[in-house]
Amino acid sequence: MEVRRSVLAMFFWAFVVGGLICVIGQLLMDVFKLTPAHTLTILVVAGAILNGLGLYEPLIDFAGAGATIPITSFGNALVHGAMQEAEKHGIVGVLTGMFEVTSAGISAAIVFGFIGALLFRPKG
Amino acid sequence: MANEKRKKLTPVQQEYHLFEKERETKRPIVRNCACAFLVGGTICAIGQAISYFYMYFFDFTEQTAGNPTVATMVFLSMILTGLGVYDRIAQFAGAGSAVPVTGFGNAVISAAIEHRTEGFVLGVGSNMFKLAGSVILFGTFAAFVIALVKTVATQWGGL
Amino acid sequence: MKRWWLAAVAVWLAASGCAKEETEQKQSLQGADWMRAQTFGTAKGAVLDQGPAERAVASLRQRDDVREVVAVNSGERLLVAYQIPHLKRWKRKKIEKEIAERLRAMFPGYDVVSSSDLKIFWKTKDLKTKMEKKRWDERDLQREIGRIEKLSKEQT
Repeated sequence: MEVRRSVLAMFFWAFVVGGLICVIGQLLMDVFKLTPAHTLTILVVAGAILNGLGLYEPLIDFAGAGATIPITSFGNALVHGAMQEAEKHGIVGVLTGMFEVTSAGISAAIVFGFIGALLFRPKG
Repeated sequence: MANEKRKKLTPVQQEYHLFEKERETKRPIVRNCACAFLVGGTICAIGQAISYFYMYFFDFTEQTAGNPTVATMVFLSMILTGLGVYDRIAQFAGAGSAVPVTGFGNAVISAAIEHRTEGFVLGVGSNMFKLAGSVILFGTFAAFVIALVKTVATQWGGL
Repeated sequence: MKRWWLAAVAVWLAASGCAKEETEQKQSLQGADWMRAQTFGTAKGAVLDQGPAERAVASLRQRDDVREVVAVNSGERLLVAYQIPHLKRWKRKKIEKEIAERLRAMFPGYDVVSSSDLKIFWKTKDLKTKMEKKRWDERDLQREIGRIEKLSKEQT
Protein backbone atom coordinates (compact mmCIF):
# COMPACT_ATOMS: atom_id res chain seq x y z
CA MET A 1 0.00 0.00 0.00
CA GLU A 2 2.68 2.44 1.10
CA VAL A 3 4.91 1.38 -1.76
CA ARG A 4 2.15 2.02 -4.26
CA ARG A 5 1.87 5.53 -2.90
CA SER A 6 5.57 6.19 -3.34
CA VAL A 7 5.45 4.80 -6.89
CA LEU A 8 2.55 7.13 -7.73
CA ALA A 9 4.38 10.09 -6.19
CA MET A 10 7.39 9.22 -8.34
CA PHE A 11 5.28 9.22 -11.50
CA PHE A 12 3.75 12.56 -10.57
CA TRP A 13 7.06 14.27 -9.90
CA ALA A 14 8.71 12.69 -12.93
CA PHE A 15 5.91 14.19 -15.02
CA VAL A 16 6.14 17.62 -13.42
CA VAL A 17 9.92 17.98 -13.35
CA GLY A 18 10.39 16.49 -16.83
CA GLY A 19 7.65 18.76 -18.15
CA LEU A 20 9.23 21.83 -16.55
CA ILE A 21 12.63 21.10 -18.09
CA CYS A 22 10.89 20.91 -21.47
CA VAL A 23 9.17 24.24 -20.75
CA ILE A 24 12.58 25.79 -20.10
CA GLY A 25 13.64 24.46 -23.49
CA GLN A 26 10.50 25.86 -25.11
CA LEU A 27 11.12 29.27 -23.54
CA LEU A 28 14.69 29.28 -24.84
CA MET A 29 13.30 28.55 -28.31
CA ASP A 30 10.36 31.00 -28.24
CA VAL A 31 11.52 33.91 -26.13
CA PHE A 32 15.22 33.94 -26.99
CA LYS A 33 14.55 32.68 -30.54
CA LEU A 34 17.21 29.98 -30.42
CA THR A 35 17.35 27.02 -32.79
CA PRO A 36 16.63 23.58 -31.32
CA ALA A 37 20.33 22.67 -31.63
CA HIS A 38 21.36 25.72 -29.58
CA THR A 39 18.66 24.98 -27.01
CA LEU A 40 19.75 21.37 -26.54
CA THR A 41 23.39 22.41 -26.30
CA ILE A 42 22.58 24.96 -23.60
CA LEU A 43 20.56 22.39 -21.66
CA VAL A 44 23.37 19.82 -21.79
CA VAL A 45 25.89 22.36 -20.55
CA ALA A 46 23.42 23.41 -17.85
CA GLY A 47 23.13 19.79 -16.72
CA ALA A 48 26.92 19.53 -16.49
CA ILE A 49 27.10 22.74 -14.46
CA LEU A 50 24.32 21.62 -12.11
CA ASN A 51 26.20 18.39 -11.45
CA GLY A 52 29.35 20.42 -10.81
CA LEU A 53 27.43 22.33 -8.15
CA GLY A 54 26.11 19.08 -6.70
CA LEU A 55 22.49 19.89 -7.50
CA TYR A 56 21.62 17.32 -10.15
CA GLU A 57 21.91 14.18 -8.03
CA PRO A 58 19.24 15.34 -5.55
CA LEU A 59 17.02 16.19 -8.53
CA ILE A 60 17.37 12.61 -9.82
CA ASP A 61 16.61 11.25 -6.34
CA PHE A 62 13.51 13.40 -6.27
CA ALA A 63 12.15 13.14 -9.80
CA GLY A 64 13.58 9.87 -11.15
CA ALA A 65 13.04 9.68 -14.90
CA GLY A 66 11.87 13.30 -14.86
CA ALA A 67 15.54 14.18 -14.39
CA THR A 68 17.23 11.29 -16.20
CA ILE A 69 15.23 11.37 -19.45
CA PRO A 70 15.71 15.05 -20.45
CA ILE A 71 18.95 15.76 -22.28
CA THR A 72 20.28 17.68 -19.24
CA SER A 73 21.05 14.31 -17.67
CA PHE A 74 23.55 13.73 -20.48
CA GLY A 75 25.73 16.58 -19.22
CA ASN A 76 25.19 15.38 -15.67
CA ALA A 77 26.24 11.82 -16.49
CA LEU A 78 29.37 13.01 -18.32
CA VAL A 79 30.57 14.95 -15.29
CA HIS A 80 29.49 12.16 -12.96
CA GLY A 81 31.55 9.54 -14.81
CA ALA A 82 34.54 11.85 -15.03
CA MET A 83 34.40 12.61 -11.30
CA GLN A 84 34.02 8.94 -10.41
CA GLU A 85 37.15 8.02 -12.33
CA ALA A 86 38.98 11.10 -11.06
CA GLU A 87 38.42 9.95 -7.51
CA LYS A 88 39.96 6.59 -8.35
CA HIS A 89 42.79 7.53 -10.71
CA GLY A 90 43.41 11.21 -10.13
CA ILE A 91 43.44 13.87 -12.79
CA VAL A 92 43.81 11.42 -15.72
CA GLY A 93 40.46 9.92 -14.78
CA VAL A 94 38.72 13.11 -15.86
CA LEU A 95 39.46 12.24 -19.46
CA THR A 96 39.07 8.47 -19.30
CA GLY A 97 35.94 8.33 -17.18
CA MET A 98 33.84 10.76 -19.15
CA PHE A 99 31.77 8.21 -21.06
CA GLU A 100 31.72 5.63 -18.27
CA VAL A 101 28.13 6.35 -17.34
CA THR A 102 26.88 7.92 -20.56
CA SER A 103 27.63 5.07 -22.92
CA ALA A 104 24.03 3.82 -23.00
CA GLY A 105 22.43 6.83 -24.67
CA ILE A 106 25.06 7.34 -27.34
CA SER A 107 25.66 3.69 -28.20
CA ALA A 108 21.90 3.10 -28.33
CA ALA A 109 21.50 6.09 -30.64
CA ILE A 110 24.29 4.83 -32.92
CA VAL A 111 23.12 1.22 -33.05
CA PHE A 112 19.42 1.99 -33.43
CA GLY A 113 20.19 4.81 -35.85
CA PHE A 114 21.98 2.38 -38.11
CA ILE A 115 19.29 -0.28 -37.74
CA GLY A 116 16.69 2.39 -38.47
CA ALA A 117 18.54 3.36 -41.63
CA LEU A 118 18.52 -0.31 -42.67
CA LEU A 119 14.84 -0.81 -41.93
CA PHE A 120 13.14 2.40 -42.96
CA ARG A 121 13.11 4.42 -46.13
CA PRO A 122 13.26 8.22 -46.12
CA LYS A 123 9.87 9.86 -46.49
CA GLY A 124 9.39 12.57 -49.08
CA MET B 1 10.15 46.70 -37.68
CA ALA B 2 12.31 49.67 -36.73
CA ASN B 3 10.71 53.11 -36.77
CA GLU B 4 13.07 54.95 -39.13
CA LYS B 5 12.67 52.17 -41.64
CA ARG B 6 8.93 52.48 -41.57
CA LYS B 7 9.08 56.20 -42.45
CA LYS B 8 10.66 55.42 -45.78
CA LEU B 9 7.69 53.32 -46.83
CA THR B 10 4.83 54.71 -48.88
CA PRO B 11 1.43 55.02 -47.17
CA VAL B 12 0.19 51.97 -48.99
CA GLN B 13 3.16 49.99 -47.82
CA GLN B 14 2.64 51.23 -44.29
CA GLU B 15 -0.93 50.14 -44.43
CA TYR B 16 0.08 46.77 -45.70
CA HIS B 17 2.65 46.51 -42.98
CA LEU B 18 0.05 47.07 -40.29
CA PHE B 19 -2.20 44.57 -41.99
CA GLU B 20 0.60 42.06 -42.11
CA LYS B 21 1.48 42.59 -38.51
CA GLU B 22 -2.08 42.01 -37.52
CA ARG B 23 -2.26 38.80 -39.48
CA GLU B 24 1.19 37.49 -38.57
CA THR B 25 0.94 34.31 -36.58
CA LYS B 26 2.31 35.19 -33.21
CA ARG B 27 4.27 32.56 -31.39
CA PRO B 28 1.70 31.46 -28.86
CA ILE B 29 4.23 31.12 -26.06
CA VAL B 30 1.81 30.03 -23.37
CA ARG B 31 0.19 27.44 -25.59
CA ASN B 32 3.57 26.14 -26.77
CA CYS B 33 4.79 25.87 -23.20
CA ALA B 34 1.66 24.00 -22.16
CA CYS B 35 2.13 21.53 -25.03
CA ALA B 36 5.82 21.14 -24.23
CA PHE B 37 4.98 20.55 -20.58
CA LEU B 38 2.34 17.93 -21.29
CA VAL B 39 4.26 16.02 -23.95
CA GLY B 40 7.62 16.27 -22.17
CA GLY B 41 6.03 15.24 -18.90
CA THR B 42 4.31 12.30 -20.55
CA ILE B 43 7.56 11.11 -22.14
CA CYS B 44 9.28 11.28 -18.76
CA ALA B 45 6.40 9.42 -17.10
CA ILE B 46 6.73 6.71 -19.77
CA GLY B 47 10.44 6.59 -18.98
CA GLN B 48 9.60 6.18 -15.31
CA ALA B 49 7.24 3.33 -16.18
CA ILE B 50 9.98 1.63 -18.20
CA SER B 51 12.47 1.95 -15.38
CA TYR B 52 9.92 0.49 -12.94
CA PHE B 53 9.45 -2.34 -15.42
CA TYR B 54 13.18 -3.05 -15.37
CA MET B 55 13.28 -2.79 -11.59
CA TYR B 56 10.31 -5.08 -11.07
CA PHE B 57 11.09 -7.84 -13.54
CA PHE B 58 14.90 -7.70 -13.63
CA ASP B 59 17.64 -7.13 -11.09
CA PHE B 60 18.03 -3.41 -11.57
CA THR B 61 18.07 -0.88 -8.78
CA GLU B 62 16.87 2.72 -9.01
CA GLN B 63 20.40 3.69 -10.00
CA THR B 64 21.22 0.94 -12.48
CA ALA B 65 17.81 1.03 -14.21
CA GLY B 66 18.77 4.34 -15.85
CA ASN B 67 20.89 2.92 -18.67
CA PRO B 68 18.47 0.27 -19.97
CA THR B 69 15.66 2.82 -19.69
CA VAL B 70 17.51 5.31 -21.88
CA ALA B 71 18.35 2.58 -24.41
CA THR B 72 14.70 1.49 -24.53
CA MET B 73 13.51 5.05 -24.99
CA VAL B 74 15.92 5.50 -27.90
CA PHE B 75 14.66 2.23 -29.38
CA LEU B 76 11.05 3.44 -29.17
CA SER B 77 12.12 6.70 -30.71
CA MET B 78 13.64 4.75 -33.63
CA ILE B 79 10.33 2.99 -34.30
CA LEU B 80 8.32 6.21 -34.06
CA THR B 81 10.81 8.13 -36.19
CA GLY B 82 10.84 5.42 -38.85
CA LEU B 83 7.06 5.38 -39.05
CA GLY B 84 6.98 9.17 -39.28
CA VAL B 85 4.98 9.51 -36.05
CA TYR B 86 7.67 11.35 -34.11
CA ASP B 87 7.77 14.25 -36.56
CA ARG B 88 4.04 14.68 -36.18
CA ILE B 89 4.34 14.73 -32.40
CA ALA B 90 7.20 17.20 -32.68
CA GLN B 91 5.05 19.58 -34.73
CA PHE B 92 2.83 20.49 -31.84
CA ALA B 93 5.05 19.49 -28.92
CA GLY B 94 8.08 21.63 -29.82
CA ALA B 95 10.64 21.32 -27.07
CA GLY B 96 8.46 18.73 -25.34
CA SER B 97 9.63 16.12 -27.80
CA ALA B 98 13.08 17.59 -28.49
CA VAL B 99 14.44 17.90 -24.95
CA PRO B 100 13.94 14.30 -23.72
CA VAL B 101 16.53 11.74 -24.80
CA THR B 102 14.03 10.52 -27.41
CA GLY B 103 14.56 13.84 -29.19
CA PHE B 104 18.30 13.20 -29.24
CA GLY B 105 17.58 9.74 -30.63
CA ASN B 106 15.19 11.20 -33.17
CA ALA B 107 17.84 13.67 -34.37
CA VAL B 108 20.40 10.90 -34.87
CA ILE B 109 18.01 8.38 -36.39
CA SER B 110 16.20 10.74 -38.75
CA ALA B 111 19.56 11.97 -40.05
CA ALA B 112 20.64 8.36 -40.58
CA ILE B 113 17.45 7.45 -42.46
CA GLU B 114 17.42 10.64 -44.50
CA HIS B 115 20.97 10.23 -45.82
CA ARG B 116 20.59 6.57 -46.59
CA THR B 117 20.28 7.29 -50.32
CA GLU B 118 23.85 8.61 -50.31
CA GLY B 119 25.13 5.23 -49.23
CA PHE B 120 25.84 3.74 -45.86
CA VAL B 121 29.38 4.96 -45.42
CA LEU B 122 29.29 8.45 -46.84
CA GLY B 123 25.59 9.03 -46.24
CA VAL B 124 24.50 7.35 -43.02
CA GLY B 125 27.91 7.13 -41.38
CA SER B 126 29.01 10.68 -41.84
CA ASN B 127 25.67 12.45 -41.46
CA MET B 128 24.35 10.62 -38.44
CA PHE B 129 25.60 13.17 -35.95
CA LYS B 130 24.94 16.21 -38.09
CA LEU B 131 22.32 17.50 -35.66
CA ALA B 132 23.31 15.75 -32.47
CA GLY B 133 27.05 16.33 -32.83
CA SER B 134 27.01 19.76 -31.25
CA VAL B 135 25.22 18.36 -28.21
CA ILE B 136 27.93 15.74 -27.78
CA LEU B 137 30.76 18.17 -28.43
CA PHE B 138 29.68 20.92 -26.08
CA GLY B 139 28.38 18.49 -23.47
CA THR B 140 31.68 16.62 -23.42
CA PHE B 141 33.81 19.72 -23.40
CA ALA B 142 31.78 21.43 -20.67
CA ALA B 143 31.89 18.23 -18.63
CA PHE B 144 35.65 18.03 -19.11
CA VAL B 145 36.22 21.59 -17.91
CA ILE B 146 33.87 21.25 -14.95
CA ALA B 147 35.25 17.90 -13.84
CA LEU B 148 38.80 19.22 -14.22
CA VAL B 149 38.08 22.32 -12.14
CA LYS B 150 36.31 20.28 -9.51
CA THR B 151 39.07 17.67 -9.30
CA VAL B 152 41.79 20.29 -9.07
CA ALA B 153 39.82 22.19 -6.45
CA THR B 154 39.21 19.14 -4.27
CA GLN B 155 42.59 17.48 -4.66
CA TRP B 156 44.98 20.39 -4.60
CA GLY B 157 42.88 23.24 -3.31
CA GLY B 158 41.76 21.19 -0.36
CA LEU B 159 45.31 20.54 0.83
CA MET C 1 40.44 4.66 -48.34
CA LYS C 2 38.15 6.95 -46.44
CA ARG C 3 35.26 4.54 -46.76
CA TRP C 4 37.11 1.77 -45.02
CA TRP C 5 38.19 4.03 -42.26
CA LEU C 6 34.64 5.18 -41.59
CA ALA C 7 33.25 1.67 -41.69
CA ALA C 8 35.91 0.51 -39.25
CA VAL C 9 35.12 3.36 -36.86
CA ALA C 10 31.39 2.66 -37.05
CA VAL C 11 31.89 -1.03 -36.32
CA TRP C 12 34.29 -0.32 -33.52
CA LEU C 13 31.95 2.19 -31.89
CA ALA C 14 28.99 -0.16 -32.09
CA ALA C 15 31.00 -3.11 -30.84
CA SER C 16 32.62 -1.26 -27.95
CA GLY C 17 29.28 0.22 -26.94
CA CYS C 18 27.74 -3.20 -26.65
CA ALA C 19 30.73 -5.06 -25.30
CA LYS C 20 31.13 -2.66 -22.44
CA GLU C 21 27.71 -3.34 -21.05
CA GLU C 22 28.44 -7.03 -21.11
CA THR C 23 31.75 -6.91 -19.29
CA GLU C 24 30.18 -4.78 -16.60
CA GLN C 25 27.46 -7.36 -16.14
CA LYS C 26 29.99 -10.15 -15.90
CA GLN C 27 32.13 -8.30 -13.43
CA SER C 28 29.20 -7.66 -11.16
CA LEU C 29 28.20 -11.31 -11.31
CA GLN C 30 31.53 -12.54 -10.02
CA GLY C 31 32.00 -9.88 -7.38
CA ALA C 32 33.99 -10.58 -4.25
CA ASP C 33 30.91 -10.41 -2.04
CA TRP C 34 29.49 -13.42 -3.76
CA MET C 35 32.47 -15.58 -2.85
CA ARG C 36 32.47 -14.37 0.71
CA ALA C 37 28.80 -15.11 1.11
CA GLN C 38 29.36 -18.70 0.11
CA THR C 39 32.32 -19.46 2.31
CA PHE C 40 31.18 -17.35 5.23
CA GLY C 41 28.25 -19.17 6.75
CA THR C 42 28.80 -22.36 8.67
CA ALA C 43 25.31 -23.02 9.96
CA LYS C 44 25.65 -22.17 13.62
CA GLY C 45 22.14 -22.69 14.84
CA ALA C 46 18.95 -23.96 13.31
CA VAL C 47 16.69 -21.31 14.85
CA LEU C 48 16.92 -17.99 13.07
CA ASP C 49 16.92 -15.21 15.58
CA GLN C 50 15.53 -12.04 14.04
CA GLY C 51 16.03 -9.93 17.17
CA PRO C 52 18.56 -7.48 15.73
CA ALA C 53 16.42 -6.97 12.62
CA GLU C 54 13.39 -6.23 14.76
CA ARG C 55 15.34 -3.78 16.90
CA ALA C 56 16.61 -2.00 13.78
CA VAL C 57 13.08 -1.69 12.42
CA ALA C 58 11.74 -0.35 15.70
CA SER C 59 14.52 2.21 15.90
CA LEU C 60 14.09 3.48 12.33
CA ARG C 61 10.30 3.66 12.63
CA GLN C 62 10.72 6.55 15.05
CA ARG C 63 12.36 8.75 12.43
CA ASP C 64 10.11 11.06 10.48
CA ASP C 65 12.27 10.75 7.35
CA VAL C 66 11.61 7.02 7.07
CA ARG C 67 8.23 5.74 6.00
CA GLU C 68 8.49 1.99 5.85
CA VAL C 69 11.21 -0.36 7.05
CA VAL C 70 12.01 -4.02 6.45
CA ALA C 71 15.01 -5.79 7.94
CA VAL C 72 16.49 -9.26 7.87
CA ASN C 73 19.50 -10.59 9.69
CA SER C 74 21.52 -13.75 9.61
CA GLY C 75 24.79 -14.49 11.32
CA GLU C 76 26.72 -11.26 11.31
CA ARG C 77 24.80 -9.77 8.43
CA LEU C 78 22.03 -7.24 8.89
CA LEU C 79 20.11 -5.96 5.90
CA VAL C 80 17.85 -2.95 6.37
CA ALA C 81 15.71 -1.49 3.59
CA TYR C 82 13.50 1.56 3.99
CA GLN C 83 11.55 4.11 2.01
CA ILE C 84 11.98 7.85 2.33
CA PRO C 85 8.85 10.05 2.11
CA HIS C 86 8.85 11.54 -1.35
CA LEU C 87 9.29 15.19 -0.45
CA LYS C 88 12.33 14.30 1.67
CA ARG C 89 14.05 12.51 -1.20
CA TRP C 90 15.93 15.72 -2.01
CA LYS C 91 18.10 14.90 1.00
CA ARG C 92 18.31 11.19 0.19
CA LYS C 93 22.12 10.97 0.28
CA LYS C 94 22.28 12.70 3.65
CA ILE C 95 19.52 10.56 5.16
CA GLU C 96 21.16 7.39 3.87
CA LYS C 97 24.48 8.36 5.40
CA GLU C 98 22.91 9.25 8.74
CA ILE C 99 20.99 6.00 8.96
CA ALA C 100 23.99 3.91 7.96
CA GLU C 101 26.07 5.53 10.69
CA ARG C 102 23.36 5.12 13.26
CA LEU C 103 22.86 1.45 12.48
CA ARG C 104 26.57 0.82 12.54
CA ALA C 105 26.73 2.39 15.99
CA MET C 106 23.75 0.35 17.18
CA PHE C 107 25.09 -2.98 15.95
CA PRO C 108 28.87 -2.86 16.34
CA GLY C 109 29.57 -6.51 15.61
CA TYR C 110 27.41 -6.62 12.51
CA ASP C 111 28.04 -6.16 8.86
CA VAL C 112 25.23 -3.68 8.28
CA VAL C 113 23.83 -2.94 4.84
CA SER C 114 21.15 -0.28 4.57
CA SER C 115 19.47 1.08 1.49
CA SER C 116 16.60 3.36 0.55
CA ASP C 117 16.35 1.86 -2.92
CA LEU C 118 12.95 0.58 -3.97
CA LYS C 119 14.33 -2.58 -5.59
CA ILE C 120 16.27 -3.48 -2.46
CA PHE C 121 13.14 -2.81 -0.46
CA TRP C 122 11.09 -5.14 -2.65
CA LYS C 123 13.72 -7.87 -2.47
CA THR C 124 14.09 -7.63 1.29
CA LYS C 125 10.35 -7.72 1.81
CA ASP C 126 10.14 -10.69 -0.50
CA LEU C 127 12.84 -12.49 1.46
CA LYS C 128 11.04 -11.77 4.70
CA THR C 129 7.73 -13.20 3.51
CA LYS C 130 9.56 -16.23 2.15
CA MET C 131 11.19 -16.73 5.53
CA GLU C 132 7.82 -16.82 7.23
CA LYS C 133 6.56 -19.46 4.84
CA LYS C 134 9.35 -21.99 5.05
CA ARG C 135 12.23 -22.79 7.35
CA TRP C 136 15.47 -21.36 6.11
CA ASP C 137 18.94 -22.67 6.52
CA GLU C 138 21.16 -19.92 7.90
CA ARG C 139 23.59 -20.40 5.05
CA ASP C 140 20.91 -20.01 2.41
CA LEU C 141 19.67 -16.90 4.11
CA GLN C 142 23.15 -15.44 4.25
CA ARG C 143 23.69 -16.15 0.61
CA GLU C 144 20.41 -14.44 -0.23
CA ILE C 145 21.33 -11.42 1.89
CA GLY C 146 24.74 -11.33 0.22
CA ARG C 147 23.07 -11.30 -3.15
CA ILE C 148 20.89 -8.33 -2.23
CA GLU C 149 23.89 -6.55 -0.70
CA LYS C 150 25.84 -6.96 -3.93
CA LEU C 151 22.92 -5.54 -5.89
CA SER C 152 22.72 -2.52 -3.62
CA LYS C 153 26.40 -1.72 -4.19
CA GLU C 154 26.17 -1.80 -7.97
CA GLN C 155 26.71 1.48 -9.74
CA THR C 156 26.19 3.00 -13.17
